[in-house]
Amino acid sequence: MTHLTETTIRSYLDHELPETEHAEAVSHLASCPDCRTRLEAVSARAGRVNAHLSTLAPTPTESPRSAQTSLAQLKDKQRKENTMLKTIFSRRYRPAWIGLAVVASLAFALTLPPVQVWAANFLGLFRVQRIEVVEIDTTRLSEINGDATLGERIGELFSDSFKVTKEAGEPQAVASVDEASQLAGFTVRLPGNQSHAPKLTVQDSTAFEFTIDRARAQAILSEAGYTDLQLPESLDGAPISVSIPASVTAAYGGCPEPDMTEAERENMSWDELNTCVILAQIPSPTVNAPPDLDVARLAEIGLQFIGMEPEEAQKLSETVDWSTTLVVPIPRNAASVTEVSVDGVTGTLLRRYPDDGVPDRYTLLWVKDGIIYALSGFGYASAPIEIANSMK
Amino acid sequence: MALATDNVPTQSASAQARDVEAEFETVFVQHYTRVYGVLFRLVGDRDEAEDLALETFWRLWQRPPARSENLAGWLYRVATHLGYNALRAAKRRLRYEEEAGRDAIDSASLPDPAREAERRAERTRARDTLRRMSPRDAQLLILRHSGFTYKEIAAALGVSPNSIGTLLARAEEEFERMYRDDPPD
Repeated sequence: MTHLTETTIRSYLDHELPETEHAEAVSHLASCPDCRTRLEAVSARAGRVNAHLSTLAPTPTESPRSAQTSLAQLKDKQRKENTMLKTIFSRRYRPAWIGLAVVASLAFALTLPPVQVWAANFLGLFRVQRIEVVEIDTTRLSEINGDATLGERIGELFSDSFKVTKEAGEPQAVASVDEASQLAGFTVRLPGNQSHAPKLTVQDSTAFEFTIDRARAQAILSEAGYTDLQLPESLDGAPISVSIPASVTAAYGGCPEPDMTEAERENMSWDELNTCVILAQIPSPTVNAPPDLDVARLAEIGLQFIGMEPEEAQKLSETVDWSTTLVVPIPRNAASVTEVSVDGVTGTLLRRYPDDGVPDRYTLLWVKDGIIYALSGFGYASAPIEIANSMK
Repeated sequence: MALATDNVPTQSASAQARDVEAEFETVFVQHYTRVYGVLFRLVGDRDEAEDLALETFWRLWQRPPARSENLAGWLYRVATHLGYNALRAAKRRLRYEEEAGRDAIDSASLPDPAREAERRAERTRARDTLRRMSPRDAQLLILRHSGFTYKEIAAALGVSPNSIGTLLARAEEEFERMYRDDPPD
């Protein structure tokens, strides 16, 4: 007669065996002193472990608030959470994607919902030489984003005239920095202070063009509640073309893979993620628009549309050189913003406030020699500035 | 290129949203206390366990699993994962608190201070043992000792229910070995 396996013994103890197997185990145990001894040992050990672990159970004074109270708290959070920029700063998105998202949301706005496309395009008539981070109140934007009809109309505004002039290919993994440079068409730089070779990925370039129907755009603004904003005449029918060069990302340490499943990502430990640093680099996207287009006015409207106070929007639109400045809007109080000296230029360090035990995270943005760099990772210790200063 | 695909309005869009919300609330009320219980065992702090429980459901709300049939499995996988990571992150803080003698001061005001201090020491040692185990073993033990069936544990850990007996026996052996290796200071 075959002896009982460890699995069977342990399952038997928990009454987890199917009925027939349970009966078989009972009859085997009755006639097998060896298995009885093993059962006693496994049972005693399970009992001891249980005694230790049972001390961890919450006592009556440690029970949670009612599910209803907690649900109300969660709903409150749902209401408050902004929708637009969660791609950049949601805790759900691991920092690995922050840098990519910052570049992507401004450079390749098409992957984002229509409102963002609209806003980003207003903010996007430029060739990037510097970056300016502005804080906005996203309550208004959440309302707009939640309005499906308005979203569709904004979508239509672009889609009717929208034409992709250069399709982007799939991202390609490459083996060396030389190969990346060759494929991307610019000289890829990497930090010199990393001991391991990064995983390099090249994202193909893309280009598209569209025109705007001023009357329809104006109607959308009114519908969104901005009846006092008048779009400039020069906008009507203005052909706008956007060209986005190939970009390169270098991932160091325990970064999530782009093709990971949800479960695989959930199972990555913070210990692992703490080692993840991602550097994204892309030559400035270019936007061509007729020279008479009143970009400052458009930017001012765009900024108000995404939730900036009118006076603030006006002031910013006047001080910023819209042909050279990439404006990155972030939700108010979502992160600390510091100007830092880095890689021989002035950069911007965004630091997400830590919450609920989730480690601190950062994105460092800078522009050098026409290339936009975004370095993202976790923690204070990772020393983003040191990494950036070691760029070769 | 259809820009508006994310926002195609349909007749029933708001009705659908209400359904999703109602379903979410049902799941929340059904599982909240149990999710909390699992998290409390791992982190040992009421506020932190509540925060992490909310975080678990927040994740469910923001990015629900693609397949809904294993919703409970998904919830408890995320919860134990968050709890285990928090437990690891809390290591330094725990040590500091012990050194500062905070436990002793706290428990001095309770009816039976000696017993309370002993209970806390037991908890700390059990949790410290879990912290040093592999995430899967720790998750397995916590779920089993929170009263989960083998089938439920298997769903949360993404393993076959038939393997739980073996995994559990080994995890208990490992727990006992590590517990012995970490005598109280």
